[in-house]
Amino acid sequence: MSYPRILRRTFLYMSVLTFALWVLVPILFIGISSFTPRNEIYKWPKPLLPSHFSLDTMQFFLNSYGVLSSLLNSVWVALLTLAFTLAVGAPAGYAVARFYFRGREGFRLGILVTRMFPTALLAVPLAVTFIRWGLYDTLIGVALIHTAMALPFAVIITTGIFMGVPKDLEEAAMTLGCSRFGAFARVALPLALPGLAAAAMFTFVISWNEVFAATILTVHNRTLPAHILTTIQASPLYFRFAGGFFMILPALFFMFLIRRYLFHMWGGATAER
Amino acid sequence: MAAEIRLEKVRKAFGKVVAVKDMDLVVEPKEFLVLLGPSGCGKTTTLRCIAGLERVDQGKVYIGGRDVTVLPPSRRGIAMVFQSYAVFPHMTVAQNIAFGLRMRHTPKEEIKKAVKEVAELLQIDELLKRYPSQLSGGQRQRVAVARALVMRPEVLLMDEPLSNLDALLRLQMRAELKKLHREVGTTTVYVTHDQIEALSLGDRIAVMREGEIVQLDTPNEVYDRPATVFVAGFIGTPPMNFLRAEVKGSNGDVYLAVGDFAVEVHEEWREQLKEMVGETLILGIRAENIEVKSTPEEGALPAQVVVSEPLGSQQLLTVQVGNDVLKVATSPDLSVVPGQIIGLVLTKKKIRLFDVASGKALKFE
Ligand SMILES: Nc1ncnc2c1ncn2[C@@H]1O[C@H](COP(=O)(O)OP(=O)(O)O)[C@@H](O)[C@H]1O
Ligand SMILES: [Mg+2]
Repeated sequence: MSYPRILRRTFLYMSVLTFALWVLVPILFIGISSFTPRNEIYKWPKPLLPSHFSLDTMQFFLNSYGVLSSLLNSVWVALLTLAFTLAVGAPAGYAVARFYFRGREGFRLGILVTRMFPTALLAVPLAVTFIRWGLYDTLIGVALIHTAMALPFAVIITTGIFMGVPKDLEEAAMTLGCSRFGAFARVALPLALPGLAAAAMFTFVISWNEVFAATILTVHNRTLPAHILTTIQASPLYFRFAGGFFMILPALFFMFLIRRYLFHMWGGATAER
Repeated sequence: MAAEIRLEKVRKAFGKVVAVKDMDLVVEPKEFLVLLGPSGCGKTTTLRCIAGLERVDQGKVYIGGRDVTVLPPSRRGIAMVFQSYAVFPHMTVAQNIAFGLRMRHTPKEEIKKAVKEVAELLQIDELLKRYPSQLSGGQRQRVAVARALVMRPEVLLMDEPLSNLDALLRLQMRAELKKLHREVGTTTVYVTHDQIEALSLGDRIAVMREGEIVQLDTPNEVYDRPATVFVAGFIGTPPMNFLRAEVKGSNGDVYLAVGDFAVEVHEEWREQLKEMVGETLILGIRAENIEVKSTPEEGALPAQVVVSEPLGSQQLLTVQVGNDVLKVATSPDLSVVPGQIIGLVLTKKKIRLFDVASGKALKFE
C-alpha cells in the first residue's frame, strides 16, 4: 500500500471510530447507570461496572407518577402513526415505483423538501389550528403530526422496496388471470412484505422518539418523551438515566432488525428472501 | 383450441418513439410465427400489444375472431413466457404452475393432475417442491413454459425465451420447443433477435425493422429471396454479400458490370434489365453460392484474399473485390494465403438484385 493511501485509510478509520464513540459512549453510560442500584449512581469516583446488576432504578422509573400512562400513550400514538403512514405511504411508494407520471421526479424530491421546515417554525400555527379543530391534546392529533414527519421516509423506503419487485412478475400474474389489483395483492405485496415491515418499524421509531411536537400539542395526554422532557428538570439523576434508556430501547432493537433496508433506502432495495 | 391472431393497423408509441407502426399481421391457427429483428425494433412491444400488457394507441387486435383490443390480459385467452421467465420467487414450482388454474377456480384434483402432466412433459416433475431460487436458469425457463402451457391457451406468446441460456442449452431447448409446439399445436408468436433461432423454429418469419414488418415469409423464402437489403444483411451466417454493379448493355445483350468484370445475368431478367441500362444496383449473393477458383481465370471475378478462417466443415474466406468485402464459403481443403488473387464464380440463379435508393429487391415477372 502506498503512503497516501495508508494515511487516507487511517483518517477514515479514525473518523469512523470517533463517530461511533460519540454515539455509543453515552448509550453505554446510560445503559449501565439504569441497571445500577440507585444509591451507587452518585458515587465518585464512578466504578466502570455496577457492584451488582439491579432493576431497582428501572422499577423506580416505571412506578413514577405519569410514566406508565404516558408509555401507553406513546405506544398508541406510534401504532396510529404506523397505520396512517403505511396506509398512505405504501400506495404512494408503489405509484412512484410503478407508474410514470408527469412530475414524478419532482414529487420524489418534493417529498424530502417537506422535511426542511423546522417543526419549531410551525409550532404556534399548528397549535392554534389543532385547538380550532379539537385535535389539541389528543393522541390522534399527535399521531397525525408524526405521520406527516414519517411519511417522506416511508414513501422513499417503500418506493425502493417496490422497485425491487420486478414488474414482470405482476405482468405474468396478469397474463395468468389476475386483475391489476389481484397481481399486486398476490405477487407484489407478499414479496414486499419484509421490506414493508422494516418501513413500519422505522415509522414506529420516528414516532416513539419524537418529542417536540408531542410536547407542544399535548397537556395531559403526554407521550413518554414529552412526559420525560417536562418532568426531567425536577427529577433525580437515576430517573433520567432510566428514562433515557427506556427511550433508546425500541430504537436500538428495531434499527438492528432493519439496518439492511436502511442501507438500501436510496437504491432499489430488494425484498430478498 | 388454437386461435387466429389478427392485428389491424396497430400503432403504439412511447412519447415520440413509435415502437409499432400501423402493423397488419395475421397469424394462422396453429402457426408458429417468429418476430425477428434487431434490438429495439418493436418486437416486444408488438407481443405485449397482443397480450394486452400494452394498450394500443390505434388499430384493433383480434384473437380467434374476437375483438380483444380493450380487454385485459386475463380475458384474452393468451399465455406468455417472459424473457426474464418471471417465475414467482415466493412460490414453489408446483404453485407457480398451478397459479393460473387456481385463478380460474379449477377444481383441486384437476389442477393436481394438470400440473403433473405438464411437469412431466417438460421434465421438471422432480422439481415440483423446490423454490425458484433453488433452480438453474434452464430449469426456471422450463417452469415458465410449463406455467404457460398448463393454461391450454389459445395463443402462446414467447419473448426471447432462450436468450438467457448458455449456447449449448439454447440449442437443446430450441429443438424441444419445436417438438412441444408440434405436440400442443397452440398458435405461437415467438420473439427473437437470433436469426438462426428464427430460421429453425418458424413456420413463418416476420422480419421487423423500426416498428414495421419488412418481410413476412417462410424461412426458406426469407433466406433465399430477402425482400430488402436489410433483411439480406440480417439473415444468414455470414449475411448476404453485396457488390455494387452497373447495368450495361452491348449490342442487344445486357450484363452487370462489377468494376471491369462482367457478370452474366439470368435469361429471364434480361428484358427487364435492358430498360435499366446505365443504372447502378446492389448485387447480393450468399457465401455458399460463390464458387472459388484458386487462380483467376476466364469468367471468374478476380478477388484478393484478406483472411481465411477454417471452421471445421467449411472454410470461410474474407476477400476483397474493388471496395467491397465479401465472405465466401469453400471447402476446407482449398489452400489459399492472404494476399493471393483468386477467382469467384457467382451462381447465376442465386443472385439477388436490389435498388440502391430504396434497398428493395427488384421483382422480375
Ligand atoms: N415502456 C417504454 N417506455 C418508453 N419507451 C419504450 C418502452 N418500451 C419500449 N420502448 C421503446 O420502444 C422501442 C421498441 O422497444 P421493444 O419493443 O422493447 O424492442 P425489441 O423488443 O424489439 O428490442 C424502443 O425504441 C424502446 O426504447
Ligand atoms: Mg425485446
